[in-house]
Amino acid sequence: MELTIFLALLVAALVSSPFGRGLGEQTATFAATALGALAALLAWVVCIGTLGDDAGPRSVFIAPWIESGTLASEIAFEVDGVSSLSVAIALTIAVFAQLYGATLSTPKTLRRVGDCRAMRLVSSTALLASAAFVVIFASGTLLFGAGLIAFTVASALILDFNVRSAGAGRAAARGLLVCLTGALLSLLAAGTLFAAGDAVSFEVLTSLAGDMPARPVTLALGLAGLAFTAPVPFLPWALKASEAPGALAALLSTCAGLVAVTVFLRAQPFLEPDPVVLEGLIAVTAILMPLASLAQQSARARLAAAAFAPVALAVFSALNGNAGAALILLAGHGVALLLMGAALDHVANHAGEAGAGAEHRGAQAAALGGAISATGFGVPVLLGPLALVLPGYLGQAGALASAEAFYWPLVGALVLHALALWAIYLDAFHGRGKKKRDDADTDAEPILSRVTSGGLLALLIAFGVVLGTITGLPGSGPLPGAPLLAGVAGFLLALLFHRVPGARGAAPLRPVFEGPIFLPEIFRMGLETALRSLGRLVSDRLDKSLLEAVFDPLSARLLPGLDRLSGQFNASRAAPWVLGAAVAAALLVTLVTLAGG
Amino acid sequence: MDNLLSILTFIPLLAALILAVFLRGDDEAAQRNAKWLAVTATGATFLVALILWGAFDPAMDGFQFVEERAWPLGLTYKVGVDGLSLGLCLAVAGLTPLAVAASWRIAERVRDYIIALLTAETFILGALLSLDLVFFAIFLEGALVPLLVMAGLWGGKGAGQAALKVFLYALPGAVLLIVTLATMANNAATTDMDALMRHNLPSGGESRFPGGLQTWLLLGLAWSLAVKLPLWPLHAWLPGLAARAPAAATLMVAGTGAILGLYMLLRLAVPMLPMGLMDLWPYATGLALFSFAWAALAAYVQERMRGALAYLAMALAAIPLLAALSGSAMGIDAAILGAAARALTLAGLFVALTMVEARLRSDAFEAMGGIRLRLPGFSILLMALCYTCFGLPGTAAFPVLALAVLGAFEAHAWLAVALVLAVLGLGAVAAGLYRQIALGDLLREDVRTMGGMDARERLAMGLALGALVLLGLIPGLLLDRTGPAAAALAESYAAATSAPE
Repeated sequence: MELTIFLALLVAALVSSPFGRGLGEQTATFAATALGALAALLAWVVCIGTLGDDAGPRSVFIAPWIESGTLASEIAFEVDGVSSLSVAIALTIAVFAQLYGATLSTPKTLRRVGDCRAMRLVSSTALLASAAFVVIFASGTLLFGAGLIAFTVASALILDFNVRSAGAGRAAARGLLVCLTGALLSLLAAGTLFAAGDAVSFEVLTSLAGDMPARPVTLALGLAGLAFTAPVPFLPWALKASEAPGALAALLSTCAGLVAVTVFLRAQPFLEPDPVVLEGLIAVTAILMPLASLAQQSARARLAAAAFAPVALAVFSALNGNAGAALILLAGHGVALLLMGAALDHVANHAGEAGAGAEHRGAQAAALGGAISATGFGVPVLLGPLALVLPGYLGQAGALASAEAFYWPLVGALVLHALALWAIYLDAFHGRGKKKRDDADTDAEPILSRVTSGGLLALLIAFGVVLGTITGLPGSGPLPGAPLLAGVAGFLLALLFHRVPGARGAAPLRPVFEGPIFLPEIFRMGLETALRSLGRLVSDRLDKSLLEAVFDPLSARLLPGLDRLSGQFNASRAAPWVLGAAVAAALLVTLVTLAGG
Repeated sequence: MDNLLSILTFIPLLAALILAVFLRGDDEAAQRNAKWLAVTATGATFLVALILWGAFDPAMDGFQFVEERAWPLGLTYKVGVDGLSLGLCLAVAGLTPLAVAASWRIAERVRDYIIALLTAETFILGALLSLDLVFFAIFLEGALVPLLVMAGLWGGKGAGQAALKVFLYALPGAVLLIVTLATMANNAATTDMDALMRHNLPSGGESRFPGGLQTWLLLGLAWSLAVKLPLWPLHAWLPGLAARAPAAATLMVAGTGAILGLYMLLRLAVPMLPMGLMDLWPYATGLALFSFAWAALAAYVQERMRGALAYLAMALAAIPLLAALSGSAMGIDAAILGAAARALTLAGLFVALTMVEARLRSDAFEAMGGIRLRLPGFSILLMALCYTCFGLPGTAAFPVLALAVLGAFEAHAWLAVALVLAVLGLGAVAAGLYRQIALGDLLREDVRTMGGMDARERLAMGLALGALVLLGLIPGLLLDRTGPAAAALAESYAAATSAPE
C-alpha cells in the first residue's frame, strides 16, 4: 500500500510535468489531481489501520540500496501511528492545494489562455508530497538524508516554477542552500551514528542510543531541524519565498513543519536531555514572527510571516516529545493557511484593493474559517462545543501543556499570532477601500473552489473531532482554556489595530523588523560580496597571471615554430607516406594483438 | 571471451582506421557517414563494456579476462580488469557516445575530428585496462595527444595556443611519470602491475618499496596526477581550453582526465605506495580541499557558461578524490561511482551548453535567463543535472555523497566535515549556474524565440540523466562489482599503513 501511494505521487508529478503535455493540459491536471487524491485516500486508510493496530511500528521493505564495505542500506519504510498520520496530513493538504491551484489561486484569465500554471502547480505539489513521504517514512538515516535533500530541491522547484517574482526566485536559491545545509548536517549525524553503531537503521540505532555521542549528534540534527523550521534570525529567505501563491505557501509551510517535526522526533533518542537553546530560539520565533507579520506591506507577506509561529509551536512540541500536539497543530495550520491563502489570492486576482474582498462571500467565508481555526478561537455561538475540538485549539493546548519554562512566552506568542491573522482578515474583507482594479476579473469564485472550501471546513472539523477523540481534550497548563483566551485577546487587539488610525501598517514596527532581525541578511550580503571578490581574484587575476607569466610567452614562442613545422610537413611529398605508414603500423599492432601475438 | 578486453580497447581505433582509409572528402554525405560511424563504434564499445560488466564475476579475487602476450623488444602486452577498472571503463565507454553527440555541430574536417576522438577513447581504455607499466604509461600519456589535436584544430580563435598550453602543463608530468615508473620497474625487476600491487615480485626479494622511496615515487606521479584531475596550481589550462575548444574536446579532457587521475591514485598510489601516501596524506588532502575551494570560488563568479563548467568540472573532481583519499572501502567505492557520476553529469551539461550556444550564439549568462519559461522540459533536465552536483537523491550522486561521508568518518571525522562543506559549496555553484541559465525574467528576444531541444539533444541529455538515475536507484549495478576490489584495496592499505615495514 505504501509503495502504491509513493508511486501514485511520482506518476502524478510526471503526468503533470512538461513531459506530460502530450496528454493535454486539462487531462494532465485532472489525472494528476485524481492520483494525488487517491494517494491521500490510501494514506488515510494506512493511518487508520496503523492507529487501530496495537502491533507497533511496521517495516515495509522495498529494495536493497547502497551496499559497500560494512554498510548495508535499504529502501524501506517504517510505518507507525505518528508517521502515517503525518503522511496523511501532508497528502491531504497537497490535494487541496492542487484543487485550489486550479481554482482560487489562479486568475481566470490565465486559466483561459492556457498558461499551464495549474499543471505546474499540481506537478510540483505532488513532487513535494512524495519527498515529504520519504522523509517521514524513512526507516534509516541515509534514506532520511536523501528525503531531506529531495524535499529541499522540491521546495526550490515549486518556487522556481510557480512564482514569477525574481525576488522569490533568489530567495528560493538561498533557501535551497540553507535547507541543503540542514540535509547535509543530517548526513553528518548519520556518519557519526554509523561510526559509533555501524548501522543506519533507526530501529537498530535507537536501541543503541545510550552509547551514541550526544553532543555532535545534537548539534548536527538540531541545526538540521532548525534549517527546515527557519527560526529567527535565519528566516529572511523563507519569508520572501513564502510569498508564493497561497495554496503553495500553505503546503510548503505545512510540509516544512512536518519535516522539521519528523527531524526532531527521529533525533529525540540521540539528543541531549534538555535542549534549552533550541527551545529558546523556537519560542523567540513564535513571538517575533507575528509582530513581523504586522509590519509587512502585502497581505501575502503578512500571512507568510504569521505562518512561522504555528510551525515553531509544532516543532517546540516535537522537541518535547509531544508528537500528537505537533501533528494536530500542523494539520489545523495547513488547512487554515490553505483557506486564508487561497482567499487572499482570490481577492488579489479579482478585486485588487484592500477591503474589496467583502464582495466575494465564498472567499470571505474561507478566510474566516481559516482565521477561526488557526487562532484556536472558536466562535461559541456558531460552533458551540465544536470550537474546542478544532485542531487549532487542540494543538495549541498540547504545545502549551509541555511548554514548562516557556509557558507564558508561548501564550504571548498565541495572542500575537491571533492578532496577526485577524488583522489580515479584517484588512482584506472589512477594509475601507472597495474600488476595483480596472483589469480585475469580476467573475465569481469557481464552483469548484466553493466545494473545496466547504470540503476543507468540513475536514477541519473532522480533523478536530477525530483527533480530539483520539487524544482527549488536552489540558493547557496553568491557564485553563489558554488558546481560546489567547484567540479572543488577539481578536480584540486586531479590532483595535484595525480601528485606530495610524496603527494599520504597523509603521513603528517596521524599522525593527527591517533592522536587527534581518541582520543575517546583511551578513549574507557581506559574505556574498566577499566570495565574489575572492572568486574574481582567483579567476581573473591569479589564474590569468599564472598563464600569462609562464605559459603564454612559452606557447607564443613554440606555436609559430610548430605551425611552421606542421606546414612544412604537410607540404612535403613524404607526408602521405608517413601518415600511411603510421596507420598501417597501428593496424598491424591491432591485428597482431587480436590474433593472439 | 578471450580477447574481450582487446576488442573493447581497439574497436574505436579500428573505426578510426576505417575512416582514415576509406572515407574521402568533407562534403555533407562524408560528414554524416563519419558521425554515424562514430556513433556506431562508440555504441559498440559501450555494448562490449556492458557485456564485460555482465560477464565479470564479482566473487572472483584479482584480475579477470587477463590477456598476456610477449611483444618484441621484451615488452609484454598484458591487460586485465578488476572491479576498479571495470567501473571506470564503463564510465569512459558511456561518456564517449555523449561526446559524439556534443560534437554533432562540428562542420569542418569531420572525419579527422572523429578519428582523433576515437583514437583518444582507445588510449583511455587502454590505460585503464593495461597491467604492464610500459603500456600503461604509453596509453595514459598518449591519450592527451588526440584530445589536444581536437581542442586545438577545431576550437575557436586561440584554441591552438590553449591546447599547446595544456601540452606544456602535461609534459613535465609525463616525463616525471616515465622516470617514476622506470624506477619502480627497475627496483622491482618487473613491469607487471599485478605483481607490484600484490607485492609478489618475481625477484622474491623486498616485497615493498622502502618507505622513503615510496614518498619520492609518489611525488614523481604527483605532477601528472594533478594536471589530469586537475588540482591547483596545475589547473590553469582548463578554463582557457574550455573557452576556446569544442565542447566535446573539453568534455573528454575534463571528463576522462579525472577518471585517469583517480585511476592512477587507486591503481598505483594506494596499493603500491601506501607508506608514501600515508606520509603525504595531509598535504594531498589539504591540496584537494584548497583546489576545490579555488575552483568553487572561480566557478561562482564566471560570466560565461563555458568558464563555469570548466571550474565546476575541477570542483566536482574533488569529491571522488577526497573519498578515495579516505582509504576506506566505502570511500573507494564512492570514488569509482563518483567518477562515473561526474562524467555523466558533465556530459549532460556540455550537451546543454552546445544546445544553448547553437541557439543563442553565445555562452554568456547575460544572453540567457528566463529559459525555464520558454523551455520548461529542458530546464527541468538542466536543473536535475546541476543539482546532481550536490547529491540529488534518485541519482548516482546521492550514493556517492553518502558513501563518501560515511567512508570519510573511517579516516578522520574532520574529513567528513570538509566533504560536507565542499558539497555545500558545490550546491552554491550549481544553484547559481542553474539560476543564471534558466531563472529570471524572459526579457531577451533571442530567448523568447529560441527553439526547443532536437531529438538528438533530448536523447543525449536524457541518456546521461537516465544513467545517473539508474545508478542512483540501483547503485548495486556498479557497487556489486567494484565492492570486492575496493574492500581488498582498503584492507591492503590499512594493513600496510597500520603495520609499517
